[in-house]
Amino acid sequence: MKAVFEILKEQIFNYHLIFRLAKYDIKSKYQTHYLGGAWQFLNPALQILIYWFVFGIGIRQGNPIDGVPYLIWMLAGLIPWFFISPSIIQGSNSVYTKVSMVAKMKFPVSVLPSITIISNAFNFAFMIVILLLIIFLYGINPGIYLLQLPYYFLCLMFFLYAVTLLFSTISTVFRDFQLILQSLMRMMLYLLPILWDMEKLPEIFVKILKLNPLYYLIDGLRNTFLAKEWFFDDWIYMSYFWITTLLLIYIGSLLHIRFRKQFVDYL
Amino acid sequence: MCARPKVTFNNVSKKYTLQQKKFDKILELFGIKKNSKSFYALKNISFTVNEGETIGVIGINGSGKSTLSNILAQVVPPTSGEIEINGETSLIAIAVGLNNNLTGLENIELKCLMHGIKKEEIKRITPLIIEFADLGDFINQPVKTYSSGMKSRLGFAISAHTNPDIMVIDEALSVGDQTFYQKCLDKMNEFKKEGKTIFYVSHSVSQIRSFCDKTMWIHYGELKKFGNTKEVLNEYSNFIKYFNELSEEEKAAYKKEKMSERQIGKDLKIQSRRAQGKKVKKNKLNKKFMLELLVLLTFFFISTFLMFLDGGHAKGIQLLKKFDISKAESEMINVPEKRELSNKEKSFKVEEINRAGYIISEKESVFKSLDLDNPFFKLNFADKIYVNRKINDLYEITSDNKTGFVKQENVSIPVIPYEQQDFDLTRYLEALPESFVTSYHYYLAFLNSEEEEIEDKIRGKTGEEFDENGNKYIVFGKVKYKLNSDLLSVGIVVNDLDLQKINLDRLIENATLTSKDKKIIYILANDYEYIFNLNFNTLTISEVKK
Repeated sequence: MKAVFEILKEQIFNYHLIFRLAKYDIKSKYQTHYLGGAWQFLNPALQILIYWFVFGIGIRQGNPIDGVPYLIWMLAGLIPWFFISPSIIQGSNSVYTKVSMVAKMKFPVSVLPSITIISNAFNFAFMIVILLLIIFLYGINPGIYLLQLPYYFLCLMFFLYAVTLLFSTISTVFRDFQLILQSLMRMMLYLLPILWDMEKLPEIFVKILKLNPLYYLIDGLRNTFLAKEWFFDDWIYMSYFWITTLLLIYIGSLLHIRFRKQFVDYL
Repeated sequence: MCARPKVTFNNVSKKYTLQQKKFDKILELFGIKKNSKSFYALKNISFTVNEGETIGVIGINGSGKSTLSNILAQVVPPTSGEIEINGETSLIAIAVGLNNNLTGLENIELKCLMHGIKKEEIKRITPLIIEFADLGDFINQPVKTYSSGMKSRLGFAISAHTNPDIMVIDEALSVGDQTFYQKCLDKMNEFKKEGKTIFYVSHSVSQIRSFCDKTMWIHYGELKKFGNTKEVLNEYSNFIKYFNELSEEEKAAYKKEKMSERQIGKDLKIQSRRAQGKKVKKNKLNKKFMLELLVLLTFFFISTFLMFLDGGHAKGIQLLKKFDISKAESEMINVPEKRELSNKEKSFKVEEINRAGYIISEKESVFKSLDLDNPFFKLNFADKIYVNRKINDLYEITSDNKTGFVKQENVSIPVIPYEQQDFDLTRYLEALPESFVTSYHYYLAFLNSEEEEIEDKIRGKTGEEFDENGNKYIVFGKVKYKLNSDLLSVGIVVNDLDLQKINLDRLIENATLTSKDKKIIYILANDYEYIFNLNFNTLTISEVKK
């Protein structure tokens, strides 16, 4: 547990650094494009249109899910996904791509995944505001359920950090992992309740799919936006999620501390 | 000059493994070491450098100078040996850590941030860096447009202003021109006066001679000589002269001999007793880690197990509290009130809903109790109900002031209340029987009329009917009026629809609500509510209930 505290302390002491570097991250990412930062929203908007057309109009014939229009139902899951997916992929690659730049100075390598997560989170916060606007326009009022939004943000941040810390070490030492991860994440889009409603599946499948902690995050956020359920209603699932996250961050911190001095040797 | 040691190296070696397959590398990670060929970039280097000294590092190509400077800057960990460095080191190599997509100015802030410099301090030193680097307008251009000289100028300018205690300069100045070189030299002399330690790595004898107090000569991974600059440089020059005079074969033979010396290196035994002491401590730590990991894994498996239990958390609570479910069920009272429910909540998953809903099965029985063996009353398709709460997979609903339980699957709860829509009955008229079509306005006018008035005004009554709920109907051929208990007409039922003439797809598209098999279609229109029943070929029209 000492390792976990040490890593978390580094994050807290360096929060200023994390935010400033995240800002530069965004800046340098889109500087070479003519449309610049607009791509942050154009890209997801195009994807939303395609998914809505294929799954909403094509496959579901425009039928609502649980009385919620499909577009809204999908957005409530897809927008968090647009944050989760790049954060995990880029975060896992962050140590490998940046350590050469950072290793020439005293720099806490463990904040590299955080920087990636935070730089994606700026975008996510903006998208959430848009999502809420759309939801209100459609006449759905999440009301008091919005109070649990901070809880799910906390879950997201913790989980993403735990995963990216672990994965960034693995993928630096074992490069093939990054490719495996990329195809896994592509699969995840369909194995999570993002584009289609899984509750209709036989119960055993739902239970297995629910073992994926990402299921908890996507489902929880949707329940928040569509005013369906409180986060403590299913406390078994909640504790499962937190124990899994704790386990991930525990292993991640141990591995990180074990390998952080040698990262440069693996480049 | 005080003799405080700034940097101490004790038997430092750096080993690189040669021509290793990826697979071997992974095996090595798990502690399964294979005897692979390794190569000593540095071998048993020991020296002490005091505060304020300027050290030149000289040697021919591939002798390990850069590895040494990387170890000094703590970029690369040594394979064995001990290093003690008192203070912050900063490595200046060509264009390290510059982000190509950002402008020079942005890079300055970025690098300063990475060095952990405070915001105010960054503001103070930025103009100094700009002045020193002397890039002109290029400072606002992306770094990728810079020439290599510009990059190294910017790199040096930034590193020189981050105020390190120990500077390691690795060939960085060889790209700059004479004027810039002079500038750097002035800056470094300034540092020297401030008592900072500088390592100057180069293979230029003249540069080192003009600047360094002491010099170390690294020769094929070993520290050949460390001492007064003049002496070391003399010896180095002599060696270079001697080496250059050798014939090509002799040169190659010399190199080969030195290389093989670096490669064998198995005689090196560096594990000191202190390292062994560390190992014991490490074992203790490992035990602690294993214990923590075990506890976490146990929790993980327990929670996974609970996830797979039937009924999820309801069962989980039972397990924890050993709650007797069979007892609780038998005590269940037929029409539970809220207070009683809250007592039993422990065994049932109760969720408050408090929203309007609709029945989506053709006929739905409402039950008095949760076990569904005591029918209470019946509801029809599209009947509006009020859903109070969800208990397991049942809904507790209220309709006409009666409260009972229905199956969850036969109720739809819209998130947005259904809105009235435009619906044009004339589009479907040709599917309706002629006797109705010819005077349908007339028929519709008698909705919400009393039985006597209808019988009085409409000719051709053919009979009366009652349905299972005891509702009375007055029949006029293919059209019949449904009466409520006050004998007011509440709906018109038209029989004998001609389904061939209905565009079913369009009808379903317009539907407010359909039954699961899509055979019963409910449309909430601006004027009336329409229910098409494709099973019995009937259309029921009634006034919109407020």
